[in-house]
Amino acid sequence: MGVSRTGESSLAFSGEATVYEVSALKADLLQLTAGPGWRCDLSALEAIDVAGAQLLVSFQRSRSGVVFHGLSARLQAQLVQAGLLELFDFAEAA
Amino acid sequence: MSQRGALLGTFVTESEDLLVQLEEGLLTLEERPDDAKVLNGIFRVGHTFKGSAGLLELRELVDFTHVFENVLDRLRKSELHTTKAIVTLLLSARDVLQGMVDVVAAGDEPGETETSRRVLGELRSLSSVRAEAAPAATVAARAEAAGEPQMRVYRIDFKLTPDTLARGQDPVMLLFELEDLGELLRVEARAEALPAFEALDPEQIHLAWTVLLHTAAPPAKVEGIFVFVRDEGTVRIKQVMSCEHFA
Repeated sequence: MGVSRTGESSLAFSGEATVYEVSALKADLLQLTAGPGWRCDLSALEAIDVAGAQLLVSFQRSRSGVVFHGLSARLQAQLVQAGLLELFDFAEAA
Repeated sequence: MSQRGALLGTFVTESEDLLVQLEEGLLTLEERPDDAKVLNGIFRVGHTFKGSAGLLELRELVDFTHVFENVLDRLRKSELHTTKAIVTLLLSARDVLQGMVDVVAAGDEPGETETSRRVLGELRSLSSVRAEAAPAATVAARAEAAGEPQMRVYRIDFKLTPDTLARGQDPVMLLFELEDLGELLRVEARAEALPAFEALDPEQIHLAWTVLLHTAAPPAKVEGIFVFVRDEGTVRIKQVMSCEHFA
């Protein structure tokens, strides 16, 4: 699991974003992103639970100009099932 | 007769034809719920009705027909499953439209009535039904088999304690258990209490959920799902309609 800078204003998430990883993920995000305007690639994300979803939503709502993209259809379906998908702002059709 | 009066007269005459077509189409749909041609025909009638009402700026009619059309569109796209109860609801909506046309025919502007408000509310709840939900027909069949023909819709609002996840519990499992009872018409996570990122304790749960469950299960069975979390969280379960309209 992790998040890495892939450009001046872009991030890539990988692995799992579940309750077991969210604290480390938050620490990484705080370290990597000081300002607004991040394009976040979720295509390598393999799992997400409620904790992971609320972390990403909180990140997006607290920093202006954060946009997600690339989340797999499987994980999108999981988020829909839990009523979570609508909390996200995606750059492309979800 | 003024020009608008003449146009309204034409609208009433045409609407009577459209309403007859609508009724016939819905009755046919009840017999052949999977017939795409019938559904498309009904959708076209609704669309024409809305267009005509729009030209005459009959706001109440347009707003009502807009939601009605949206439900038909979802049926057409197989995002909703045509059940007897949905057809019954659509027939009720058709009757509301008839009432509005009668008001226009009498020279008045249609307004909101208790019936139109109720039917519109039910149509609106259907217009936000999840495409992934189990077919309502399956739910109805399950209820009939269990000898519980009375279908209900429950609105369930729940917020679990912050340490729910840390204790190895998952709200999604509660949703699965609810889905086992019937059809989840709506699942909405709410983030009003979600802290800003810097203040967030990410291992604690800050979200709440609102769920609409369509089921034949009695209240006690629905409440039973929350028995292990009820004392520690906030759970409100309310039956919102008898659901003759959905069963």
